[in-house]
Amino acid sequence: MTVSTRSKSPVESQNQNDSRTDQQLIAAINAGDVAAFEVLYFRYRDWVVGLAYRFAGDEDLALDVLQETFLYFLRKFPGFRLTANLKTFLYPAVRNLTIAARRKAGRYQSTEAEQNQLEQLPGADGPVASGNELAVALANLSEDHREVLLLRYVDGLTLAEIAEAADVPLGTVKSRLHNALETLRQDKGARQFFEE
Amino acid sequence: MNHGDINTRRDGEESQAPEKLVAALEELPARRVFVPPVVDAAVLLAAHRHLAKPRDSVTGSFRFWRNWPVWTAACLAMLGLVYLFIRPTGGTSAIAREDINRDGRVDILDAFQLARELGSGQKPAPGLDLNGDGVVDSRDVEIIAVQAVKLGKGGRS
Repeated sequence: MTVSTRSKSPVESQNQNDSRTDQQLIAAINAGDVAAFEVLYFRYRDWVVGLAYRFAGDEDLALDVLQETFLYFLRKFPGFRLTANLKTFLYPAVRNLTIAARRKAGRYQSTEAEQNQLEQLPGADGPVASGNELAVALANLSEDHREVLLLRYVDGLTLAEIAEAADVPLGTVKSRLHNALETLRQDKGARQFFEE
Repeated sequence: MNHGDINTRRDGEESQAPEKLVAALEELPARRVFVPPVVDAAVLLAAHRHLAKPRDSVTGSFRFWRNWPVWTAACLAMLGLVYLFIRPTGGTSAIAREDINRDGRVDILDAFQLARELGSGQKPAPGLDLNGDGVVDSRDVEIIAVQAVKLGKGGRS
């Protein structure tokens, strides 16, 4: 995996300094405040496009899904009520829009996403960094298990939020998380992270 | 890590990942997708269109029609603008009036900038009344947006 960085535009920097909560911004957007929508857009843009890329494994598709997601969100106003973490609302939208985009593109992105994760691995003879071992171990998880693990520990959602976002029972989320951790514990490359 | 009764733990409480694993997950290099400014502009322009309060265009134009001196001045101003655009300008290249941000291209960023100016209450230049209705509003923004699309990835201004 590669990391790309770029300097923020003045508009982005300006919106990052806004200290209003999501609830306050939602209320302002419902009142027609376009600037509040800008703040919310930049606050969640990178997470949405990163999530879309996680599902799609393709940058162009991820950018299309980014736009579609926020246009879908925009059409909820006025009258949108935020009852939970905004990521809980955005997650299924990103997932479903990515599925639709994939079907349209005629690609099987789960394989492509796994390939993207593996493409940075060194050769078999060389030493393997622990980060790469973990990436390989993650790629070997089922999509459902991997997604719960990443939503919990990378995106910071609670299990209840994950259950709501994924539209599955809480027990199922707990089970998937448990199974994901057990699989990693048994994995040759990832078990180092479970050792004292 | 205490394994215990797997079923009880799975149903009753959240399985906990060791700190080393959590730290490694958080540090795992994540693909950062570069989002081009035109993508931001397209989304935010849609937000301006959707959220900006609609102008009371019917009442506005009725009031405007009754105020004939303003109407006359607007017509003269439009004639003056037309003259400015059709007269020879010499050797220097003219910047299209739709090139709001003066970057040499007419693209969605120009539409977005005009939309932002209107939304923030700034008074745009009268020359930006692209449809000649006497006011600079979202309809003029639309004209720039349509032109930007026709020009493809942004035409030279």
